Amino acid sequence: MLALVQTALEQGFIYGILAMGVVLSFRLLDFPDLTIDGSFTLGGAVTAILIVHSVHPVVAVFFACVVGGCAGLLTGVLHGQLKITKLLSGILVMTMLYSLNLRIMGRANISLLDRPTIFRWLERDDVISRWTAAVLLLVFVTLVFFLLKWFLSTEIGGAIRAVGDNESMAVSVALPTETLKLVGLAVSNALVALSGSLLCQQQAFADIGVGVGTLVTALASIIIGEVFVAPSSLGKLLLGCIFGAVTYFTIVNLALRLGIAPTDLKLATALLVILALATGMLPGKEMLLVVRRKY
Amino acid sequence: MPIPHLEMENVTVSFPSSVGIVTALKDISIKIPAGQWLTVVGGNGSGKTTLLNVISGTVKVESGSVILDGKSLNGVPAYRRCRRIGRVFQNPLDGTAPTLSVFENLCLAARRSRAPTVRGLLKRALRDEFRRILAEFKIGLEARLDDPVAVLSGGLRQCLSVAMASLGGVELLLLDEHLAALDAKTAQLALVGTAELITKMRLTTIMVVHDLGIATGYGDRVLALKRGGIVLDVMNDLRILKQEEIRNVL
Repeated sequence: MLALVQTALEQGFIYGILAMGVVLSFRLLDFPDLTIDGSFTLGGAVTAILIVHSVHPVVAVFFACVVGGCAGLLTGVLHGQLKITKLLSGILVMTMLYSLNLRIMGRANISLLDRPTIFRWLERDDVISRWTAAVLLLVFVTLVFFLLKWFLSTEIGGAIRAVGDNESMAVSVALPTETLKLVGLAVSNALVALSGSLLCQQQAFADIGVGVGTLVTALASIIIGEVFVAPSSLGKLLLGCIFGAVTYFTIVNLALRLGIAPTDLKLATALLVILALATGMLPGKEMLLVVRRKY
Repeated sequence: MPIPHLEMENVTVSFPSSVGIVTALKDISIKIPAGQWLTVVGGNGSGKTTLLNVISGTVKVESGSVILDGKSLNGVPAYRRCRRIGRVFQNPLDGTAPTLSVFENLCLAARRSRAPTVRGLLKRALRDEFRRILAEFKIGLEARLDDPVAVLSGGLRQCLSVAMASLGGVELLLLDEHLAALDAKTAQLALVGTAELITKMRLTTIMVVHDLGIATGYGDRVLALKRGGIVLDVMNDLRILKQEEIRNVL
């Protein structure tokens, strides 16, 4: 049981960072950004290959964020400069990233079992050390929470929210809307890649298929989060992402223990999101209306 | 004669439409001195809104130029022009960000003259000034500073839009039938509040209105448009223009 809680916390913290990134693009910037399925894998791919080439894991995490941010920028440029729709821009970059990730990794998966990761140097073979990963991830997720909360309260953060809220208002108060979308997408995808990087190190494994369905997992986390934390403020919105992800992975791990096939998880998760969309009655309605309204 | 604050020189704008090319503005030339309040009237499709769009940059000129303080605005993107131009739209939903608070909206507007930075958005020091400006409308908006804009009525939102459009060192104010969606009582409050702000801040103003009573009762000069051309341009600083005189040319 304790092992289940430990796993759920570790995965929940990792995907909590992902959900915060997704909430930034989907909800605050009103940009349904599908890049993330690719940039999540990208974060892991960059991290794995750098660690294999003896780069310090912390430096690898940093580069994963930077490269993830660039993927977001590319989607923003496709949309802003080439006037491609938001959905298609994301899909195009996600598709490109599949090939690119394979190029980066050189093969479909990389094992880091005998390599140093940010978790490895803390690890010793006793009971306390089993929790070091969870504690370290808690530090990460807390750091991201406060940084993102601060960022959103700055002029640039407020401006990004204004662009997502009402673009004509943003223009009328002299905000460079296209640049702000780029900044928002870059930050969002940097967080997604950070999440991918942490997952790769926690599992000591990078895989080309890890990003499939990432978006739906993030949406499910956000929906569940709103059950517990009504998003009445920015802080609560972000806190809900973390709570939601932890709850989601607690449920997932329980379901796995009860014998559900791991391969059916994505089906179950997507059904949960569809149910929330269809009824419009589950908490998280507001978030989903944003998803549904445009398309 | 001093340099006009805003000048339009032979501005022509046309749009493709299902019935062919429609000319929205035909060779419009006008000079507006600093501090003048111009009211613009005309029927539907007369080019009133296009006139404002061309000045604010959301519509490009086909030929001619728009000149602010002696410098051409041609090629300057819309957001950049808004550093000096405040604008209020007809739809109260257009001018404000609903999930942001009244205070956040005002703070964004107050920084319009420069790019946003990583400094905190909320400027506590400005709260009193904002309260004072909002109180001009006598509609209770000054007590709603921390409410999200989404919970405000259309009238309150529109008064907030006017206040935002006047903030941040704006020199030119564009009002696009901004009272049209409000009920009579709220429209009157908003109009009086708008007039107070314009006079106090000595803003050069272009106000598009449908109501000829407002067109003749406010402002220094009346411009009437018909099918994209100017059919009347008279001073009205003494408020002696009769509504009939406008009606006859429209």
